Amino acid sequence: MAGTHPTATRDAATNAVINLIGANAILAFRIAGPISAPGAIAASLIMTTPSSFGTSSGGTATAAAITTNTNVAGNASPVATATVNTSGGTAIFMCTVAAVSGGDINISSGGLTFNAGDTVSCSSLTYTALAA
Amino acid sequence: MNEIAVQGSIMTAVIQVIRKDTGLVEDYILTGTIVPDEEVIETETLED
Repeated sequence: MAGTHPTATRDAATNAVINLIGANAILAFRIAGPISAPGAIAASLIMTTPSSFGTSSGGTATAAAITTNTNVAGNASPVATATVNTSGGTAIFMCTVAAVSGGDINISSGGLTFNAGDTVSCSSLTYTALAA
Repeated sequence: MNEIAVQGSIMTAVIQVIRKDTGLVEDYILTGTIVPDEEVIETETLED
């Protein structure tokens, strides 16, 4: 059975989630693990105050500027999930991560890994709570 | 963790990695789908 959400409903759902996130949230890229016990953090980036995300428009919220991490923890295992946590560390949502690129593409069977000391920046981050 | 997001939710991120050892710059567009509980993830990565 298919369902459809009007834009106002989608905005309400997205705003409800981002309101839980609050300021100075943490975007964490992790190795594999269930939501009940997320995998180790390979890279974490601090989001912006006073609001990590802007108000939803068209069902999607866009993050404000995110601070680059110039010395990530790294992990030998590939990134498999990402979480957005409150500044206090409470995870608000987790998603699987798959990487695509608009440039020249090489398929890496090992996946995306971060090495200790790598610099990781995030220039764009969006969140959409409900499908249209 | 409380699971508050609804299945069907998505996240997108554009990230850049600068490798400490080589100085190589790698750009990625990451797409994520919100996962239900007890999901263990494997992924295949396309990279520049």
